Amino acid sequence: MDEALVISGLRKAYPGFLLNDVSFRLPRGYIMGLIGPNGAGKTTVIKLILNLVRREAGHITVLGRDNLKDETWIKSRLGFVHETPAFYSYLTVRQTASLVSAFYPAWDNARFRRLVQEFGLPPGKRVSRLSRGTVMKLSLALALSHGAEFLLLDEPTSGLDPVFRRELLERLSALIQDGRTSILFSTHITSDLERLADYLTFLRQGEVIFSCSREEIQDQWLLVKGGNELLEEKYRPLFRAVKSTAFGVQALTATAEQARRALAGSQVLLERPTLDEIVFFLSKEQ
Amino acid sequence: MWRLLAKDFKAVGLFWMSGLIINIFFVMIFIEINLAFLFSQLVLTFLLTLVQPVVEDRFGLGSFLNSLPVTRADMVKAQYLSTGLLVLAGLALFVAVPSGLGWLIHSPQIKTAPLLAPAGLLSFLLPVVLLELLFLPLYFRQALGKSIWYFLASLLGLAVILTGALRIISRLSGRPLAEIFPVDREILAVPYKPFLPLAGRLQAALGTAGLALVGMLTLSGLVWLSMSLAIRFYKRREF
Repeated sequence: MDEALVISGLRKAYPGFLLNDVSFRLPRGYIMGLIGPNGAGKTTVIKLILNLVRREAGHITVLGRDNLKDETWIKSRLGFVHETPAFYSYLTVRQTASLVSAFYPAWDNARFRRLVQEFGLPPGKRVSRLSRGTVMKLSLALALSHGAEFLLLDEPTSGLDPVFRRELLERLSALIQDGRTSILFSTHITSDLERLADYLTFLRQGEVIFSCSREEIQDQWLLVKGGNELLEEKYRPLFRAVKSTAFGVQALTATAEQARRALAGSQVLLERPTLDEIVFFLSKEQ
Repeated sequence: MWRLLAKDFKAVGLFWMSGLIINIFFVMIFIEINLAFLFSQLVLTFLLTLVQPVVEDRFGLGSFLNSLPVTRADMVKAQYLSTGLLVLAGLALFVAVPSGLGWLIHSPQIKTAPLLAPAGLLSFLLPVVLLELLFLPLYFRQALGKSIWYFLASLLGLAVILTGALRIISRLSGRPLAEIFPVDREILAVPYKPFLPLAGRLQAALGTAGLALVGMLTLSGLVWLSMSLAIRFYKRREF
């Protein structure tokens, strides 16, 4: 399968943090959600893809090319939205677009103007006078105006109102219909990804806990709710994480069929977990 | 690289123009003392070249600029190019202001001939170029605040080394320091006077063309060294 992004054996150390042996792949034409708690290494992975920080080991290919050898080629086909977009804030929206457009041969000015209108961006207003959400919209409009084949979005929905957030997710979903555009979307708002992401990669403390398709998650992961019997030693191997509360025990399993068989006849409730629940349980997993 | 230069003009061109205009009025204050005029023009031109680094640092544009489809080497080269153009603009003012004032105001107090002589032009051009060649690698190595501290410390270190070297030369040659590096009241009118003995000896040894050639080669070598270091440092920078 044609791959938009292949990451293998990625390693980067900071004082007090290690991104270790990170590997995952995103087929072309799909959306991947990069999820995980704060400090999991999501932004570091994105910075490594963009070569904003130097990797210590590993390999990254974007659209089939090495991200270091063909950096310029890749960046001209890549749209990036930073979690805290920064621009020359004394320039207007229009001036900022004029400044950025010069770097992209495929820049589509008509498309940018359309997006400005759709996003409600004031073309003559200085960036410094825009709200955080509007700056994020500007960043998105810039990223979507040069025919990017790969969108790298680092927490793009942070600071956006729920209405625009929903519209954005629909727009992203529509974007990949051409089968050519791929999106890596980092977020800790997992509800954004419930319907949008085709693939999910979960990072925790610099390690990939899982990277698979949404269907695989739906088929393989289960949330088991029951009494204290779930804490018995014989059930332990079934569960990735267990939470005991005053109202009972909840456990997360990644081997749904095995759990169903083992728990057949028990007084337990089996539910499909939300992404939020998976993130919550796996964040607590030891 | 040219797109980066165009970007700089779009982004901070207005600041540069304002700076140059402010320069004209500011330096006129010092026109009666050539040393003060030279010094103010050096400082203002250097400050003008700091505008872009300050803006990029102030707004935290590292990630944004490095996500554009340009190489880091090109970003460094564009910075050197824009700095070179600003230095040339500074030189143009350095020539234009005294000439213009001399033409406008026929005051006996204004004696700008030493500044407009080739040695006067070099006394502006060489220090400002050398300052930039020292500053830019430091700027591309780390954040602006730190690089300014490193730069000031380097200048202090250089001043100490040069003063020490002059004293050693004086002791070894048995000639008084005042003869090797004459600093007296005349430097107010002829700021480059202390360097004339050394320049005279070099000119006698190499000839004017030879001295120019050696000077050009040395300067080219320093530009290459400074830019190579800056590119190497910037490729290692993390954002």
